[in-house]
Amino acid sequence: MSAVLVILRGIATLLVNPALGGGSNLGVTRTAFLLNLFANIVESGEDTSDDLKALAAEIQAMVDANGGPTPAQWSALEARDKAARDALAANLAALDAPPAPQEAVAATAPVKRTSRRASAKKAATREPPNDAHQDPQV
Amino acid sequence: MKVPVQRSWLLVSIALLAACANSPIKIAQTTEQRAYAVYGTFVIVEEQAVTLTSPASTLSPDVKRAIIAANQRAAPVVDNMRKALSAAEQARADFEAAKTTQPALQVVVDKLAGWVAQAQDLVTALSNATKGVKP
Repeated sequence: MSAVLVILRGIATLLVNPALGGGSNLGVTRTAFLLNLFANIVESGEDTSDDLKALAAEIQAMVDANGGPTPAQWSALEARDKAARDALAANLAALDAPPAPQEAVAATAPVKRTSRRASAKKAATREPPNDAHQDPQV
Repeated sequence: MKVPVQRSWLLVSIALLAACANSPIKIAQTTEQRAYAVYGTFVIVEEQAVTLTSPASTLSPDVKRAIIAANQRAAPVVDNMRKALSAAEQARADFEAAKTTQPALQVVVDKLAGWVAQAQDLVTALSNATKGVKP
């Protein structure tokens, strides 16, 4: 765990804990929430650091060559951007969706019952086939 | 007594976050390089957000929503910066072809610089916490 992570989590704890000198109003709670959010991002930020280093090297090469990004470089970034936005939208949809197993049980069980009931009712009210219809008369 | 202590802790944390910044944006020298650095940093933060908010992540739903919302707030500014960059490139080509004037080109370039600065602030705020931190 990095020093920054420890410090962020420590500050967040101080802010929300009155016994440690913190408060409990909404602003403080929100600040603590944001600090925890940053801490979580920091915690998973090691791969990001490598990506940033690669980007920094790319920019440095442009500076050294006194040039700018090529169309291919822009296209590559745009493709990654689009993929990330699609994935974020999917993640948000998954968050907004009700829990899958319960939904599956809730969705399928009544359908089956309704279906059985409906078919039983249909069977009861359905006119018998021609030959059976004629039986009572016989 | 409590408030100054909290404020000083906050200032320390902000200073630490700023100090651990890796710096593609700082390396860039021209507006175009800076725009590319801002956009690249934004994409990296976005990709990190995808990992953090995936169903496999153990973060709470509220934290996941906050991460997605922060990215969605920054996205339109980044998009406008890219549009302004395209407009500036077109204006520069027009100027070189003597289809537009220097003042007209300057207006477009100034607008691009404004969008780059705005996007840079947002993306820097988003990415400071993800930059260059090693355990």
